[in-house]
Amino acid sequence: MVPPCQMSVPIDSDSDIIVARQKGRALAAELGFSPTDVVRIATAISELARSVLSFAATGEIRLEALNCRNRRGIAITATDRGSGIADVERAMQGADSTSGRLGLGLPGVRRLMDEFGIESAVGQGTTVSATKWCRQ
Amino acid sequence: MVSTIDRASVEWATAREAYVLALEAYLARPEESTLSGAYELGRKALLDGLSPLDLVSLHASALEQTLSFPQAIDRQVSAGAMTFLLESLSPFEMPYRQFLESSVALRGLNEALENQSRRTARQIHDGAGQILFSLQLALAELMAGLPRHLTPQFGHVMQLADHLDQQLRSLSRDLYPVALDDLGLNAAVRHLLDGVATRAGLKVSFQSSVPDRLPPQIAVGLYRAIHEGVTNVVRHAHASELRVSMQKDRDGVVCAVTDDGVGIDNTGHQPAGLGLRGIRDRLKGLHGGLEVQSTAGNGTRLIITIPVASGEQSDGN
Repeated sequence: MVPPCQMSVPIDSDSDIIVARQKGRALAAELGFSPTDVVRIATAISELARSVLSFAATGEIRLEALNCRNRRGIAITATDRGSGIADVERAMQGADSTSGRLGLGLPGVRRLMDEFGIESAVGQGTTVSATKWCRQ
Repeated sequence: MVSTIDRASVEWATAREAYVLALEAYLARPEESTLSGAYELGRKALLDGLSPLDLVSLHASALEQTLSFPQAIDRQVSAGAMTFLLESLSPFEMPYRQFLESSVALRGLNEALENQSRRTARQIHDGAGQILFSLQLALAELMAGLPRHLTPQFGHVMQLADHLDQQLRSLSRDLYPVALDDLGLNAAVRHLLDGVATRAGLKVSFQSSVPDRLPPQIAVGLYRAIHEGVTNVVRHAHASELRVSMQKDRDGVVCAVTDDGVGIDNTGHQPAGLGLRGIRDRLKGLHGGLEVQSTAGNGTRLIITIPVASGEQSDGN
């Protein structure tokens, strides 16, 4: 059985990234993700947390176990109250930086996960949600 | 972590079994023959759609089983090293996925562009070209009934119509060789050479053992390369004879365009070089190649090669 589970990790420094990775990894393993997918999920958490620190300095990562129509999954939500992204489409193309051109950052998270959504308002902050489903 | 691989798919189990066998074989007898097993496994994994991360995970799982010998190195160290490797490889997953995505998008874009060119070429050829043809016929009829003193002026009008016809044909052919669809590869090349023989007064010969039904992109690539080669001969070679031969062998198509003209002076810059670069770039897109054999005064031979996968032929399109 999957325990109904939701947890939140404040992101203020590099050491918080490690905490978020560790919790996400443990939750994903508990949900029955393959070791390879557990690594992918940890990678997505790293990239999300890194982008919180780079663009807003502070925020949080919420991890949630999903159980929907016999499908298990993990939802990761990164929220910050930073300056927001003026051009989301451009940011998702990743053309403005070396890491972006290599497909890292938010575009990388989109490709690693099954579902991806982003909401951002200038001056108010950004919320990125990404979900991955367990392959049966 | 890695030791508890629980992916319950049959493919995974099969892949793992193959990996264990290959890995054990290599560890027992580390030499090129057993090492090539690793290459083959990796190649198959790539074709099966596995990512680098999947492959390393497979390796970790197989290694753990293989290392359960008494003389094995410390298993904890080994498993730890592997987990570390898996983790350090994980960022590569993002550019890898980006590459796959872009590659699919690029292929789609290429196809869309080629289709658009093909439609436009067809419209010019069948639409504007046919109207112009009717116009030329009507002009010819008119001219036959004209008073003699008006004939020279009218002849000039007809010349203009001929120029327009040539321009439309060349525009249409640059976009897409419509003749390929209408006639098939061999007849289209023959038609091209007949035109050259008439217009440039060259003695031409053509031999082919290539089937008409090649995959469309290969037929188009080959036709365009031949067309460019033939155009170069007409413009720069000052040749009297032109030979084109096409052969199909096990690996693909080989085509030679040979002339008896002035040859290419490798020391100087010749305008022909630009056209050759164009051919080379196009062939590269088909994993093909171009070889130029020439000495000043002794003619030129272009060897065009394009690989064709055995399953790729005669797709009936």
